[in-house]
Amino acid sequence: MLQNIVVSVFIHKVDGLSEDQRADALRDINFRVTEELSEAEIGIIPKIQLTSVYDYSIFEALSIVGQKLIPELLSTFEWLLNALKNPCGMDRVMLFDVATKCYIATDTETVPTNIYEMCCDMLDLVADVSNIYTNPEAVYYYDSKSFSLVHLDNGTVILTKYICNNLILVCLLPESCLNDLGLIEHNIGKFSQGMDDVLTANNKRKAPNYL
Amino acid sequence: ALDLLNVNKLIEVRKMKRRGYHNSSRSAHKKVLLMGRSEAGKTSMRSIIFANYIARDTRRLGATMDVEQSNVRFLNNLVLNLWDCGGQDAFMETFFTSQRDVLFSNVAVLIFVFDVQSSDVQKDIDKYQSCIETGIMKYSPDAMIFCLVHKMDLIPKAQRDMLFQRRKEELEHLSKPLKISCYATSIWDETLYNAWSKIMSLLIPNVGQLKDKLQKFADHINADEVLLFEKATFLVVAHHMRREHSDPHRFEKISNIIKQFKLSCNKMQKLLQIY
Repeated sequence: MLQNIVVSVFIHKVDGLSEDQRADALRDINFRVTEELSEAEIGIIPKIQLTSVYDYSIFEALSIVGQKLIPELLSTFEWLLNALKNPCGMDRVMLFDVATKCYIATDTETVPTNIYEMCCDMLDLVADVSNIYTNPEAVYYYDSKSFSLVHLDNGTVILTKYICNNLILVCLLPESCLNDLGLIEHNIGKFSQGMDDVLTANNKRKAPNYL
Repeated sequence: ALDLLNVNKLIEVRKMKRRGYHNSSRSAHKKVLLMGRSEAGKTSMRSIIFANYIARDTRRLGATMDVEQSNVRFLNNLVLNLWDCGGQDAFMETFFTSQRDVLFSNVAVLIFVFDVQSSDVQKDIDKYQSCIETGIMKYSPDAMIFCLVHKMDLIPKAQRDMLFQRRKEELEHLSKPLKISCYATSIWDETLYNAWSKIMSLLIPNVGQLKDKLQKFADHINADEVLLFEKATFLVVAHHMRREHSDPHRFEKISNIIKQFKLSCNKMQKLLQIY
């Protein structure tokens, strides 16, 4: 039963360390932890990450932890994201949780930190502006029609679309893709439908072992 | 010291006189005087609005020596000739004596900044009065006058309104017969954008035309509201509202929000393009 537990190690408060010191700490702790665990014959291999509250690393770390908690759903999400990304010609597609700004799923394994930061800033922008223009009686600032586009002057466009269940889609695409905005909207609609189906099916399953 | 947006020259008054400096009575050029006592916050404000500083960066600014001039192009057909006048007593003395005619001639806008937590409020008021009586009334009686009661973030929220109203009444009384506009501001929230948006929009030569066009556009696309911002400063230039909205401060909030986003994009070396 112990094998079902996800174990994660955060080497925290690294904002005070230099790059070299961080690399040393990571290597050192990694070595000692794996050594002691294998000596004790515990078959768990924890994921070790450097974190700090003064930058985005803590959010990235929590995103990775979150992904480990939904292994079967994750591969389906990734498949759906890639199915959306390729026909539309997008550069990156990510699924974020609205409240925590942690990503649930992405098109590729790793997300470079600067891309992640840009997406978080974009989500803040959308949240703040939406808050101003939302009906004061509404509970949330977003609904199924929430959709935003921001053009950066290096030819990239950031697109956000609310999907369902507090999940928001963030896409980075080249400006030329917007010539087919209708196609993109249609595909995103199909993606939303797919997500809905997956989550409904998942809810119907009995899943006593999951947190 | 960090460079500001456009031409930023330190110019001594004697040089200005000699060169017959800058005739700002051309319709496209508007001279804006930014005055106030030392450390009132004039250069910080200017840096945030026109030079992409974030509020935190303004801590690095030193005292302004004499007068710092900068030309800011605003909306293609308007050039603001911004005179940031050092507030230290020695400088202010010369402003009211030897430099008086050069400084106060052809002024389109005077912005006087008061530090709300000033240790010597009477001195602030005296300087302001000198500006008005010996400077503006004599050389530029048609100038628009704005008084900014600044650093309001340092006052507890409950007292802000009352304090501002009191100061406003006092200044309006002192300035008679000239009409003035007063705003409470702080670099730490959207009130800064509110005051400067209002000031800038009064300077734009064809703002009426812009508003008409916005109205037509809004009607065509059936929009609840359309806002037009100036691209570099994100000050609201014009707007058209087709549906009532409960928050009168939304324009400056949006200015603030988008400006922050733009600055964080800049950090990642991608500049925001406004459609």
